[in-house]
Amino acid sequence: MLSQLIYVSVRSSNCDEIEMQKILSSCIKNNKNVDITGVLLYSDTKFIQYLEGEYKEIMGLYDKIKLDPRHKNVIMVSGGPLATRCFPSWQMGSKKIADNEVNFKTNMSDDEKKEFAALISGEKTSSKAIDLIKKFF
Amino acid sequence: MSEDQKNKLNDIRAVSFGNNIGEITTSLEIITMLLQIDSDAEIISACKSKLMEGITLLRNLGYTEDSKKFEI
Ligand SMILES: Cc1cc2nc3c(=O)[nH]c(=O)nc-3n(C[C@H](O)[C@H](O)[C@H](O)COP(=O)(O)O)c2cc1C
Repeated sequence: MLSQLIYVSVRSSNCDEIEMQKILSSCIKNNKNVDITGVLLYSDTKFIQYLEGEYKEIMGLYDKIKLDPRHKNVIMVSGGPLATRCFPSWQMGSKKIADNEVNFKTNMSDDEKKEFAALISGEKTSSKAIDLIKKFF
Repeated sequence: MSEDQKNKLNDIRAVSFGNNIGEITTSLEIITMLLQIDSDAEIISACKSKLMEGITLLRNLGYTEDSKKFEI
Protein backbone atom coordinates (compact mmCIF):
# COMPACT_ATOMS: atom_id res chain seq x y z
CA MET A 1 0.00 0.00 0.00
CA LEU A 2 1.33 3.44 -0.92
CA SER A 3 2.00 5.33 2.31
CA GLN A 4 3.67 8.40 3.71
CA LEU A 5 5.60 9.10 6.87
CA ILE A 6 6.89 12.32 8.36
CA TYR A 7 9.30 12.54 11.26
CA VAL A 8 11.30 15.24 13.02
CA SER A 9 14.62 14.81 14.78
CA VAL A 10 17.46 16.64 16.48
CA ARG A 11 20.55 17.03 14.32
CA SER A 12 23.61 15.85 16.27
CA SER A 13 26.44 18.28 16.79
CA ASN A 14 28.76 15.83 14.99
CA CYS A 15 26.63 15.96 11.83
CA ASP A 16 28.60 18.50 9.82
CA GLU A 17 28.25 19.44 6.16
CA ILE A 18 30.42 16.51 5.09
CA GLU A 19 28.08 14.10 6.88
CA MET A 20 25.11 15.89 5.30
CA GLN A 21 26.54 15.23 1.86
CA LYS A 22 26.98 11.55 2.79
CA ILE A 23 23.35 11.34 3.96
CA LEU A 24 22.11 12.89 0.72
CA SER A 25 24.25 10.50 -1.34
CA SER A 26 22.79 7.53 0.59
CA CYS A 27 19.30 8.83 -0.13
CA ILE A 28 19.92 9.13 -3.82
CA LYS A 29 21.69 5.78 -4.05
CA ASN A 30 19.29 3.70 -1.93
CA ASN A 31 15.85 5.24 -2.27
CA LYS A 32 15.69 4.58 -5.98
CA ASN A 33 16.09 0.83 -5.39
CA VAL A 34 13.14 0.68 -3.00
CA ASP A 35 11.06 3.24 -4.88
CA ILE A 36 10.97 5.75 -2.03
CA THR A 37 10.63 9.45 -2.77
CA GLY A 38 10.35 12.48 -0.52
CA VAL A 39 11.92 15.56 0.97
CA LEU A 40 14.53 16.15 3.63
CA LEU A 41 14.52 19.60 5.20
CA TYR A 42 17.27 20.49 7.61
CA SER A 43 18.48 23.38 9.68
CA ASP A 44 21.60 23.64 11.82
CA THR A 45 19.75 21.86 14.62
CA LYS A 46 16.83 19.85 13.22
CA PHE A 47 15.69 17.47 10.50
CA ILE A 48 12.25 16.95 9.09
CA GLN A 49 11.80 14.24 6.50
CA TYR A 50 8.82 13.31 4.41
CA LEU A 51 8.95 9.79 2.92
CA GLU A 52 6.54 8.22 0.48
CA GLY A 53 6.49 4.68 -0.93
CA GLU A 54 5.27 1.18 -0.13
CA TYR A 55 4.43 0.85 3.59
CA LYS A 56 6.90 -2.01 4.17
CA GLU A 57 9.77 -0.17 2.49
CA ILE A 58 9.07 3.06 4.36
CA MET A 59 8.95 1.36 7.75
CA GLY A 60 12.14 -0.57 6.93
CA LEU A 61 13.94 2.65 6.04
CA TYR A 62 12.49 4.48 9.06
CA ASP A 63 13.80 1.76 11.39
CA LYS A 64 17.26 2.14 9.81
CA ILE A 65 17.25 5.95 9.89
CA LYS A 66 16.22 5.97 13.57
CA LEU A 67 19.46 4.20 14.49
CA ASP A 68 21.65 6.74 12.67
CA PRO A 69 23.89 8.55 15.20
CA ARG A 70 23.90 11.73 13.10
CA HIS A 71 20.60 12.62 14.72
CA LYS A 72 18.64 11.74 17.87
CA ASN A 73 15.16 11.86 19.34
CA VAL A 74 13.51 10.84 16.10
CA ILE A 75 9.75 11.32 16.44
CA MET A 76 7.14 10.25 13.93
CA VAL A 77 4.75 13.10 13.26
CA SER A 78 2.34 11.47 10.90
CA GLY A 79 1.95 8.39 8.78
CA GLY A 80 -0.72 6.66 6.77
CA PRO A 81 -2.00 5.68 3.36
CA LEU A 82 -1.41 7.94 0.41
CA ALA A 83 -3.45 8.09 -2.81
CA THR A 84 -0.74 9.54 -5.06
CA ARG A 85 2.82 10.62 -4.54
CA CYS A 86 3.54 14.32 -4.05
CA PHE A 87 7.13 14.02 -5.24
CA PRO A 88 7.24 11.19 -7.78
CA SER A 89 10.61 12.08 -9.28
CA TRP A 90 12.48 12.99 -6.12
CA GLN A 91 14.73 10.34 -4.63
CA MET A 92 15.07 12.84 -1.81
CA GLY A 93 14.77 16.55 -2.39
CA SER A 94 16.66 18.50 0.20
CA LYS A 95 16.75 22.01 1.47
CA LYS A 96 18.79 23.75 4.12
CA ILE A 97 16.13 25.74 5.86
CA ALA A 98 18.16 28.75 6.91
CA ASP A 99 18.98 29.48 3.29
CA ASN A 100 16.47 31.80 1.73
CA GLU A 101 17.28 30.61 -1.70
CA VAL A 102 15.75 27.24 -2.46
CA ASN A 103 18.57 25.04 -3.58
CA PHE A 104 17.51 21.61 -4.70
CA LYS A 105 19.97 18.85 -5.08
CA THR A 106 17.98 16.32 -7.07
CA ASN A 107 16.03 16.28 -10.30
CA MET A 108 12.43 17.25 -10.22
CA SER A 109 9.80 18.56 -12.55
CA ASP A 110 8.56 22.14 -12.57
CA ASP A 111 5.27 20.95 -11.09
CA GLU A 112 7.09 19.43 -8.15
CA LYS A 113 9.11 22.58 -7.67
CA LYS A 114 5.85 24.49 -7.45
CA GLU A 115 4.41 21.91 -5.05
CA PHE A 116 7.40 22.20 -2.80
CA ALA A 117 7.49 25.99 -2.95
CA ALA A 118 3.82 26.00 -1.95
CA LEU A 119 4.53 23.56 0.85
CA ILE A 120 7.31 25.57 2.40
CA SER A 121 5.64 28.92 1.92
CA GLY A 122 2.59 27.68 3.79
CA GLU A 123 0.09 27.86 0.93
CA LYS A 124 -0.84 24.23 1.53
CA THR A 125 -2.38 24.06 4.92
CA SER A 126 -4.46 20.95 4.53
CA SER A 127 -2.76 18.75 7.08
CA LYS A 128 -1.21 19.05 10.50
CA ALA A 129 2.05 17.82 9.12
CA ILE A 130 2.24 20.82 6.87
CA ASP A 131 1.55 23.05 9.86
CA LEU A 132 4.52 21.46 11.50
CA ILE A 133 6.71 22.08 8.47
CA LYS A 134 5.70 25.73 8.61
CA LYS A 135 6.56 25.98 12.29
CA PHE A 136 9.94 24.58 11.45
CA PHE A 137 10.93 27.82 9.68
CA MET B 1 -5.33 4.54 18.83
CA SER B 2 -3.88 3.82 15.37
CA GLU B 3 -0.55 2.05 14.80
CA ASP B 4 0.96 5.36 13.67
CA GLN B 5 -0.22 7.21 16.75
CA LYS B 6 1.24 4.42 18.88
CA ASN B 7 4.59 4.79 17.12
CA LYS B 8 4.49 8.50 17.74
CA LEU B 9 3.69 8.02 21.40
CA ASN B 10 6.57 5.56 21.79
CA ASP B 11 8.94 7.96 20.00
CA ILE B 12 7.95 10.79 22.35
CA ARG B 13 8.33 8.64 25.45
CA ALA B 14 11.76 7.51 24.21
CA VAL B 15 13.14 11.07 23.96
CA SER B 16 16.37 11.30 25.91
CA PHE B 17 17.77 14.76 26.50
CA GLY B 18 21.41 13.96 27.19
CA ASN B 19 23.58 16.76 28.53
CA ASN B 20 24.34 18.91 25.49
CA ILE B 21 22.51 22.21 26.01
CA GLY B 22 21.91 22.71 22.27
CA GLU B 23 20.41 19.26 21.85
CA ILE B 24 18.25 19.62 24.98
CA THR B 25 16.85 22.93 23.71
CA THR B 26 16.19 21.56 20.22
CA SER B 27 14.43 18.50 21.67
CA LEU B 28 12.24 20.81 23.74
CA GLU B 29 11.45 22.93 20.67
CA ILE B 30 10.31 19.82 18.81
CA ILE B 31 8.13 18.63 21.70
CA THR B 32 6.58 22.10 21.94
CA MET B 33 5.75 21.98 18.21
CA LEU B 34 4.17 18.53 18.58
CA LEU B 35 2.13 19.70 21.52
CA GLN B 36 0.76 22.53 19.40
CA ILE B 37 -0.35 20.37 16.49
CA ASP B 38 -1.68 17.23 18.19
CA SER B 39 -5.09 16.79 19.74
CA ASP B 40 -4.81 13.23 21.09
CA ALA B 41 -5.01 13.21 24.89
CA GLU B 42 -2.32 10.56 25.38
CA ILE B 43 0.11 12.29 23.01
CA ILE B 44 -0.51 15.64 24.71
CA SER B 45 0.09 14.14 28.11
CA ALA B 46 3.31 12.41 26.91
CA CYS B 47 4.54 15.72 25.43
CA LYS B 48 3.74 17.58 28.65
CA SER B 49 5.62 15.15 30.84
CA LYS B 50 8.64 15.25 28.51
CA LEU B 51 8.51 19.05 28.58
CA MET B 52 8.55 18.97 32.38
CA GLU B 53 11.46 16.56 32.36
CA GLY B 54 13.44 18.80 29.99
CA ILE B 55 12.62 22.00 31.85
CA THR B 56 13.69 20.45 35.15
CA LEU B 57 16.91 19.27 33.53
CA LEU B 58 17.66 22.75 32.17
CA ARG B 59 17.08 24.26 35.60
CA ASN B 60 19.28 21.68 37.28
CA LEU B 61 22.03 22.45 34.80
CA GLY B 62 21.71 26.15 35.68
CA TYR B 63 19.93 27.30 32.48
CA THR B 64 16.93 28.78 34.29
CA GLU B 65 16.46 31.59 31.74
CA ASP B 66 16.41 29.11 28.83
CA SER B 67 13.96 26.88 30.68
CA LYS B 68 11.43 29.73 30.96
CA LYS B 69 10.64 29.86 27.25
CA PHE B 70 9.33 26.30 27.37
CA GLU B 71 6.99 26.78 30.30
CA ILE B 72 3.31 26.48 29.38
C1 LIG C 1 18.10 12.69 8.84
C2 LIG C 1 18.53 11.49 8.06
C3 LIG C 1 17.82 11.10 6.93
C4 LIG C 1 18.20 9.99 6.20
N1 LIG C 1 17.46 9.62 5.10
C5 LIG C 1 17.82 8.52 4.40
C6 LIG C 1 17.06 8.11 3.27
O1 LIG C 1 16.06 8.70 2.89
N2 LIG C 1 17.50 7.02 2.59
C7 LIG C 1 18.62 6.31 2.95
O2 LIG C 1 18.94 5.32 2.31
N3 LIG C 1 19.35 6.69 4.01
C8 LIG C 1 18.99 7.79 4.74
N4 LIG C 1 19.75 8.16 5.82
C9 LIG C 1 21.00 7.43 6.11
C10 LIG C 1 20.75 6.11 6.79
O3 LIG C 1 20.59 6.30 8.18
C11 LIG C 1 21.97 5.16 6.57
O4 LIG C 1 23.15 5.78 7.02
C12 LIG C 1 22.17 4.85 5.10
O5 LIG C 1 20.97 4.44 4.51
C13 LIG C 1 23.22 3.74 4.97
O6 LIG C 1 23.27 3.34 3.65
P1 LIG C 1 24.63 3.28 2.81
O7 LIG C 1 25.55 2.40 3.61
O8 LIG C 1 24.25 2.67 1.52
O9 LIG C 1 25.14 4.68 2.66
C14 LIG C 1 19.35 9.26 6.58
C15 LIG C 1 20.06 9.65 7.73
C16 LIG C 1 19.67 10.76 8.47
C17 LIG C 1 20.45 11.15 9.68
